[in-house]
Amino acid sequence: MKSSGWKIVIVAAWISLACTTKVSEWVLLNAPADRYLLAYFHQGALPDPVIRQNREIEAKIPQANLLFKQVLKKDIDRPYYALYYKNRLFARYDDSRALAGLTSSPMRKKIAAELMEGQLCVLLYLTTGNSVKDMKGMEVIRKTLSASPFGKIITLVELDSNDPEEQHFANMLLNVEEDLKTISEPMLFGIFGQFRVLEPLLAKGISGENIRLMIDFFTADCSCVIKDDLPGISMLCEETWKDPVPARVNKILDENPQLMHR
Amino acid sequence: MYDSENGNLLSANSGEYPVVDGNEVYFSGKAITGAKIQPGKKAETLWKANVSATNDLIRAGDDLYAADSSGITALRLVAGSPPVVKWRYPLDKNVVRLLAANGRLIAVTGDGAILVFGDSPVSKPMVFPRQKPRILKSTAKAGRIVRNTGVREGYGLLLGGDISLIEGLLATTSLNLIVYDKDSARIKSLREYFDRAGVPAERAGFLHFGRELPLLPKYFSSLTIVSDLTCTGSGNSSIPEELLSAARPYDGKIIIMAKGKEKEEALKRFSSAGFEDFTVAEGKDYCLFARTGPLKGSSTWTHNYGNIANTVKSDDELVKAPLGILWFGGSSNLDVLPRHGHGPGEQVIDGRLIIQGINSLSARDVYTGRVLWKREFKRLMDDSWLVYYDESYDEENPLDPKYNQVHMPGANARGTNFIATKEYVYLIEGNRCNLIDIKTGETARVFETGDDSTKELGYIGVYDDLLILGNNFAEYNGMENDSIRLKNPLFTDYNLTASRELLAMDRFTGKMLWRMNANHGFIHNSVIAGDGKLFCLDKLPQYLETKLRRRGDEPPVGSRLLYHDARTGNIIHQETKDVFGTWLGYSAEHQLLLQATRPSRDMLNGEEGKRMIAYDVVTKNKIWDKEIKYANPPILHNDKIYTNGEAFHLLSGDPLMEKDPVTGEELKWSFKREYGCGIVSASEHLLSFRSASAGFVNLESMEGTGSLGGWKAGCSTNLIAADGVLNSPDYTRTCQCPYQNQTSLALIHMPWMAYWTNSNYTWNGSPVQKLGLNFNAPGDRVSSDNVLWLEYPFTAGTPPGIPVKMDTTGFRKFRKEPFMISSEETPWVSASALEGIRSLEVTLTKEVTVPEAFFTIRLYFAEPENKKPGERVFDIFLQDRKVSAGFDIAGEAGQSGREVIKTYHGIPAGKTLKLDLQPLKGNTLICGIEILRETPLSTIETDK
Repeated sequence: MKSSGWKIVIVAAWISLACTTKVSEWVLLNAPADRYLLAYFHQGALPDPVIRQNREIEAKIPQANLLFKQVLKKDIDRPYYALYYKNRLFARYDDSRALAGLTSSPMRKKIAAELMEGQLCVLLYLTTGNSVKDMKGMEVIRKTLSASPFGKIITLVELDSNDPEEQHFANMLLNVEEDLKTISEPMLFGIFGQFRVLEPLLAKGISGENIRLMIDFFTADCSCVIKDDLPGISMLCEETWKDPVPARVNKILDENPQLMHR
Repeated sequence: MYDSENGNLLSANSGEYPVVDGNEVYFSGKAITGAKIQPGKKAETLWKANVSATNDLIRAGDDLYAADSSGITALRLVAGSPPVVKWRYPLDKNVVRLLAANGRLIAVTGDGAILVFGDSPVSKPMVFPRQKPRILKSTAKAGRIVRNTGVREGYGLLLGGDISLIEGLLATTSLNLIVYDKDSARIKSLREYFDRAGVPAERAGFLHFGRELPLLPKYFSSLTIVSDLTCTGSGNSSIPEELLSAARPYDGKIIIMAKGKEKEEALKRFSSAGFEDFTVAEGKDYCLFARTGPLKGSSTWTHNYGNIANTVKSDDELVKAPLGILWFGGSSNLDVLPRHGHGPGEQVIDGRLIIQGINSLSARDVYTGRVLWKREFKRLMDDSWLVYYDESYDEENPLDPKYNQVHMPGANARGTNFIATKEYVYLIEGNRCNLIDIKTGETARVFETGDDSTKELGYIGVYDDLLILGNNFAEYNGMENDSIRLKNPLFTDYNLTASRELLAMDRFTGKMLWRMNANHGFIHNSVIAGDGKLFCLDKLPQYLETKLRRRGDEPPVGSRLLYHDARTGNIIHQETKDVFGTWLGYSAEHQLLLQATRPSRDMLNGEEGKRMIAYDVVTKNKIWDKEIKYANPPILHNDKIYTNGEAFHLLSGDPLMEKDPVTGEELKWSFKREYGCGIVSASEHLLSFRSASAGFVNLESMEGTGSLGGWKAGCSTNLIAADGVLNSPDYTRTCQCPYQNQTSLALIHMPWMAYWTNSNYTWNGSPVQKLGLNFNAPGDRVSSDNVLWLEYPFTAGTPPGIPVKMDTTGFRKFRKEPFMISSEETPWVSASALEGIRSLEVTLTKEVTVPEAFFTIRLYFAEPENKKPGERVFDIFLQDRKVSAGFDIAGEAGQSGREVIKTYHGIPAGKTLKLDLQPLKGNTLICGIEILRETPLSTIETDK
């Protein structure tokens, strides 16, 4: 090799995945949200109004983690829209008006803003309308958070599963597990990263111990085991996730190193 | 592409294997890309030539030569333009390597042919065909030796070039012979004779030696024949030790052809060499030394985690740092499962390494890599389908380096399907268990359950003379609709992780001894045995229990941790509370049962390591129950538990503490592991694992993570210490990572080898008690008196955070191999040096208020150049006080390359220590500085 001014070593890159970044921060910075698929199933040639409306839908999509496709399917009675997450059908919509608010809603904006502000996570309490059940769960949550050293960097929000403005969001939440729609119990979802939602605690599972375990997960050192198989599912939203505020958990852990754990 | 000045990544994925020529780089691959490194260190693509160089690419003169599986292309480089094709030579052979020398282009093909190209075509190239070997004759001499020793295969070492003996051995055995003789003319003549006879070089090699035999590899020779006693030297020659050391454990033989007094003399010399593991026999005209049994201090590795107790540890005491290569090459990597499928790991017993392929099992010699046997099994492919590989594996192109086989849990979840023992390999095939003779690979017997309902055998384990089998997999209904299963099917298939029933047979006769049904499923990673007991967990997979807990539901009744009498199957004890996890491990030394999960990369969902419980199996009491985070199956190492980066005391669950090597304060024991799949496994002295390349932690010393560079340990765990060897059968088939070597290999302890670690040390600012700075060293190391020597300048890994200021003039770096330095204990300090240091200031504490203390400072020197006394002379100052005047390294050492250590006691220092070197003649040079805090006051200055 001729002598050169540049001392450059050309090798293939390997990247150390050893990590002391906390799970919540690593996922926010490095794990893009999964994309949903909105499919428009139709039997044949599309009339102009439909073409126009689908173009409008598609124009809005780049802001969200959503892909839009028109799919020819001859064995259907009438055209419809269908929302998929991976291979699972989350919802079916008979016309485009039902898509209003699909990719954004006030609650999702609020949650995204909290995550971008460096909060450890957002706990979303999905209520049933049964005040006895709902209050019981909320008591446990509040008590646990007030006793947690991370309580101040966790945002707690409440969502009525029947709120029409949040119907799409509630539907996605109830699709996190296949049987949640059949269960009439309050549910507590942990939301972190780029709007990743963990499988919920529900009914008696909303306990101090389980909530602390969830917080433990968010505050643990990230590891290849977690990165390989990130739990939960993504939600649809329009946040870009660019330049979030540095994670607030690091300050708490720097001041309280005894709280650090893997 | 990295900047070699500072290690910064310049560009990821610059191209395929490059040819570097100054500022220009030619990337190989399906097309050749020419690039130029511009100021700013960016590679700018200049041109792309549509010529395939998938096999090799070289530059010679003004030409590039490219090879792929269809032939060779020569291109002429043209300044400022893409290259022009000069000629193309199509071939139906696969060219794997190109070389250029002496005006010739040499191409080597995969089948061993060599093609030589000149500067112009010839009408009829000369062909030197491989000679057909002539038929060799058996000879009486060889016949007697084979009869007396019984050895017909392996490596043979001959001292003495007896042509009739060599010919007879080649004719009647499959030995690969290495022949040494002191007569160089005889050696030459033997080479020519057997070459003319068509004997290939791998069957017979002929070597001349002078007074002493060159160092022989250990353990390789199955049969050593001394037909010329003069080759063993006389009296105090070390050749007998060499030969004994080179004999293969378990069955290596040394036969010395001698009679009468000569035989007696040979017997005496060899017997007194100090090797205890040989038996001796005599005949009229020979004596025979037979190495029997394992190496003392070695141990086996069987089942998927070392043994049926799941310790994840071999008791092997011989494998320790430093390590050196015993052999490399050996078998093809086609005979292993796809690397991301995490098939069952290799098992090592009696000098044999047993390893599974897609439809095969093979046995390899641990000491030479030789394939002993390979068997294919009809049903094994079906059994392994969707367990150890799936449709993402390209069976038609098993060597294609595209992403060939996605990650799946494999044996991490299902467990192994074979067990190696001294007599047999027990291999599950469908609903039967084959007993494969471990010596020959032939099927000796087949065991069946005798139960028509047996569809498949699940678990397999061997304990003493018991064969434990799982009868039918436990199935977890409803999981197929679980959303997590739909999201991540590969990592949520729990149906192969447990067996519905366990049964025990006599492993030699197949007689059924007992059977036991599960309430839920006997989880395979929890079925273990020790001290006459069989332990197991009968429960749901951890994910399902976690889901129930999340919903506030109780786990179903019937979950239990069981202790059985291994012989009768009777339940001795059961735990029904705190029955969590999927893993059990047993410490026979402490009679302690550990309950845990089995977390790692590429493992089923729900196996996070969060908790461990230890039980005393005698009292049945819980000893401790702790929240412990871990990411490796817990390794039971005597009285410790090691995981992926941490350690705990076995008897208390408390974190293992160590002393900060620099400040002496207590901190948690830990180690750092770089990128890589596969679990950490252990032997007595080492933890071994993939850490980008192959990595290890020396448990005898707190010096960080060592790297065995140059090759990649497998994605499936394959770095196993057993039988005195660190085994690494190649498990990287289809990997694209550009490690320098892709091969099977084995390493053994070689005390004279240099090794370095990355200590991953971070200083907390507390006062330094002891510290070494090893100038221009390639890594860190701990000395025999437990001083941590850090490389300086700090280049590799994260700097330790110890502020060091350095002023230099005429700065140069030197580095040699430690074996080139004459030093009693620290050649690895004095092998590297910095020239031109004028001043060096080391911060000793970050504390604000610092009382002055006294230090012993040792300065290490060795002259790396051929300087004569008087050519390099300098004064030495510590804390601005001259401590040595006119120091002359070569003058004091007497020669270059010999270490000189200058020791200064009672040096006062507070926050910093300052060293000044003032040149009087030539430039200054120093290899290392050792800083030791004293307690007593001392003002005596001595030179070591």
